[in-house]
Amino acid sequence: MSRVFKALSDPTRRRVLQLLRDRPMSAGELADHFEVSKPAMSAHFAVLREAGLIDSQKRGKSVIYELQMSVLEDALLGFAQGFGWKLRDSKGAKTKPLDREVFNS
Amino acid sequence: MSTQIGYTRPLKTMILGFLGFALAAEALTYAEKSGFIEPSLEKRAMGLLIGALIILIGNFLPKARPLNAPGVNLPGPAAAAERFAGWILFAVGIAYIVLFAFAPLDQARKISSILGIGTIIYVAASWAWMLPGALLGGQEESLADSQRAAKKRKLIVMLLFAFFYILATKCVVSLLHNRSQIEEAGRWMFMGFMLLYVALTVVLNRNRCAH
Repeated sequence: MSRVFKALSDPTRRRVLQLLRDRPMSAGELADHFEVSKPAMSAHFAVLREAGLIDSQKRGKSVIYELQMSVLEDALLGFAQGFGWKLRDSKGAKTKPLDREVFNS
Repeated sequence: MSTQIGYTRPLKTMILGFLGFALAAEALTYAEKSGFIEPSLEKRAMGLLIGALIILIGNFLPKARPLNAPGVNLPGPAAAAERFAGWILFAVGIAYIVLFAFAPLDQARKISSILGIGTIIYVAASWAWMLPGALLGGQEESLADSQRAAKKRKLIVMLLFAFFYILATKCVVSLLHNRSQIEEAGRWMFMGFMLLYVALTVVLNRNRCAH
């Protein structure tokens, strides 16, 4: 559960989840919505995936991300968004991204 | 690998919760039959238990993704309907618990049954039109993917059928008073659910053989 809280305590990651509400998207499509470097985006995806909030599928050369949130996690996302949660130690994502999460396009 | 972790964990929780529910319900019935607790208390406790089960299933439904499987990419609306069904079930579960905890028993049983049947009809209707696409569409990347998908679908279809069957039975039993009516309805429901289940299994197996 602490992984979920950590994952939801970052505005960029919350925005990723909200974008995925509309439809599944590839890593590249998602990254186009942000002005964050691609490695940093990969780290964000890794944190979300570790928390079990998104699911990744390899489709040819790209990785497709899909939302995978329970009702409670969805409600938690709403709260986090409403109150603007932030981590106290804002060192950013520590989880190492997987090789396949680093973009190849 | 991540995909596998992603879907087995919620599915496992759902199955464990389901087994726990079955055990608790069995214990309750036994306690009432042997005179440890009053019949009215048993009915209330059973209502609370069902409420908890509905909340559990509703909560994990969008995470277990019954219409989705590895390799299948659902269109946005289908995924949204899956999520919405989860929210509806969650809310209905809370309504069950509130009703059976506070309302007079007769009213609680009547209102909760109508709610339950309404939910079943809503979920069935909202999923029916996208089920063929979800089950038959989609290209699985590999043999392992398609086998995992088939396994997952079998599990989740079984689980959801058991859940909706129990919910429907409980609703019908609390709505009807006449014993012969209940038995008649039970027979028809059993047949209907069985036919649906067989039809779904055939569709799922045919999809797997195509690969």
